[in-house]
Amino acid sequence: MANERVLKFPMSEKMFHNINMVTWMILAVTGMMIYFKTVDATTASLLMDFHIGIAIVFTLNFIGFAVINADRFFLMLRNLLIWDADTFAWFKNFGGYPRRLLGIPFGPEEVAPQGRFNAGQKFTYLFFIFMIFGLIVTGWLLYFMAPVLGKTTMVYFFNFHVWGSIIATAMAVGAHLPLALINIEDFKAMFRFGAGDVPLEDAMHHAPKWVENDLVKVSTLEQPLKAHH
Amino acid sequence: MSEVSKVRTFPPSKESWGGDAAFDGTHRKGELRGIIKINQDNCVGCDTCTAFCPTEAIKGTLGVAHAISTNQCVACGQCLVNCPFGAIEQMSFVDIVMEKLADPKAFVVAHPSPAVRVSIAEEFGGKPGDLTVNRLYNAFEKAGFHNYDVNFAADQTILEEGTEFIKKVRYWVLGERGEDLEHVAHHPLPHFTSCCPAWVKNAETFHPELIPHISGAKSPIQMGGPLAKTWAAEFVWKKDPRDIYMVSVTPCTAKIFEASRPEFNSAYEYLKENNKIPQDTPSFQDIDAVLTARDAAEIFRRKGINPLTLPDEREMETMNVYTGAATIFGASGGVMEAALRTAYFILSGTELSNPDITLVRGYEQDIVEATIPVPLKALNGKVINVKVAVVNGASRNIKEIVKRLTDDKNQYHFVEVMNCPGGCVNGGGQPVRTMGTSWLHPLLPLPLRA
Repeated sequence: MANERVLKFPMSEKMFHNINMVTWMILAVTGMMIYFKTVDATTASLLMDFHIGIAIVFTLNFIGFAVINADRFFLMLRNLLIWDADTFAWFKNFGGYPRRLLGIPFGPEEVAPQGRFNAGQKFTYLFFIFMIFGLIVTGWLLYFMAPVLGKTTMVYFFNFHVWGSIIATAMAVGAHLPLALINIEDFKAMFRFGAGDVPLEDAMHHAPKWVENDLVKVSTLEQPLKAHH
Repeated sequence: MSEVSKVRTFPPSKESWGGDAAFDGTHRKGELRGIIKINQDNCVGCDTCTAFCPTEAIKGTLGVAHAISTNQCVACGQCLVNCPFGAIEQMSFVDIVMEKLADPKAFVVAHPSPAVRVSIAEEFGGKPGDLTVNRLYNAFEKAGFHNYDVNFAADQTILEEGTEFIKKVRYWVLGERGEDLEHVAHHPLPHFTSCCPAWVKNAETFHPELIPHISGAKSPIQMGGPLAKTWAAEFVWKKDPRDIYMVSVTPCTAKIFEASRPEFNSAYEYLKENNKIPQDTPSFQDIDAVLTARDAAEIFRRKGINPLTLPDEREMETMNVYTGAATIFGASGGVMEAALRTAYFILSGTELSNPDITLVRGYEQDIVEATIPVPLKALNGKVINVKVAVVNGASRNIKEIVKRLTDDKNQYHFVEVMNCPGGCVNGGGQPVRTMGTSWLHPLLPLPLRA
């Protein structure tokens, strides 16, 4: 068992995540520079052109993942949308993170067993997916259809696009990234070249219900493991 | 959601009338410029406004604060009413008019256009389209104004414009010649309307080839100004015309520009020529100040007046008499319909059996075309088909109508052009609703609908 590994992030998810991450950050930085008028008009105009160019990649990445890898996309959505009693129980102690990281004795010591995603991840990732979809829709509507949207709709869409992206970026940088670094095996699986697998032991610790209910043993992974150790 | 938006305003500065140079770009000495301005701090560069500008006067790219080219702007204010972020501001004469109202020597006259009576209620919580004819008169009176309805002058306009069209038909279609037709010899058909100041400025700047076609009749407001300071001053109000301060109250921001045109001081010229005022009297304009419907509401608010709470009754006054033809000037097709009624009567010798020429009405088409058969009295009832077009909104349609006329200059006899879609009722000086027209409107939950 010590050398056994499980596939957590297939290549399609890794590609989607990493392209999404890079394009998101470029879009966020350029968008904020334009909105907060931190650069002169000529530079802002160039940044907007760049913003729109990157937005095309951002959009195609999402559509490509959802359409070409529809099975993975819907499996991920299924994992995110199944909320059982243990999912809700996670909120009693927020997965033990306040106790473990900050020394705050919040809730019971024992963490309710979680699936592939814990409740916090489910909440956050659903929000991220909603925001990706929402930013794509509002962005292109603002770009192509501003004059016919109607003024109030325009303002709603604009504020969603600007402030929604700022809030989501803050969540990604302030919460998602640090927590990913804490779950270092997940982090390595996502960013290493090659297979996005994590040690079985780690998976059993963080996602026991996933290991128990969803995983299927396909090989002993003796050979591939050598590549990682 | 259904309330009106607050539009930011700014007073005119000394520079607003230009310097001493006879010309400055597209403006002559004395003409107001910079009437519509984009606040750079509030503009987010959404680029919505550029789609509504009829002259491509708005500069700026997506995400960058936009700016208006003074030389290209016709001051129609369509950008202002369609800006989702309230970043576009309007020059306002509210403070100046308030000072005049406080001056006991000044005889301040409100000259309200027909489109204001159906919009002012919105500024006080009423519904769009609430008719406030007498309540509006009463509100102006309570605020210290005397009333002179623009409709009175609109009837004069239609007599002039209709007569001019008839002369053009006689000269250019029927081939008549005579002393009374000499002045139309250089003004061929098609005959274009002239009462929209944004359209006239647009033609002067961008389509000078159309100038000979545009009617020589002044707009109703600019006919009202001289009438007030000459005829009404002497025979109705019995006032020294120099004390009369004419304030037009309009749905239109381009009227602010129009009032400043140097040729619009006809009353002054007439009065001086006829020794009715001292020869050393400094020149004054026929219209001294222009208030938009929003500005008028601001004056009422400052004076604690809500027109909707005032009586809807009032005795008919000399200066507020008018016909239905004058009232429909405010809607797209209205000027055309009014002119055709007059033309039909004079050319055929008979009244229309039904004066509602619905063919030229409506605001859903960019360009409305119609053919009106008119039997000619002079030719023993021979019928000519008068071909007319109504241009409903300048932003897309002026170029199209010019193209059509370039292809076939005989395509129309008479063309009405309204800069604003739907006509003056949708002018740049009207109350600004938060929602605006939208294809998404029917999809919104009821509480969110305007």
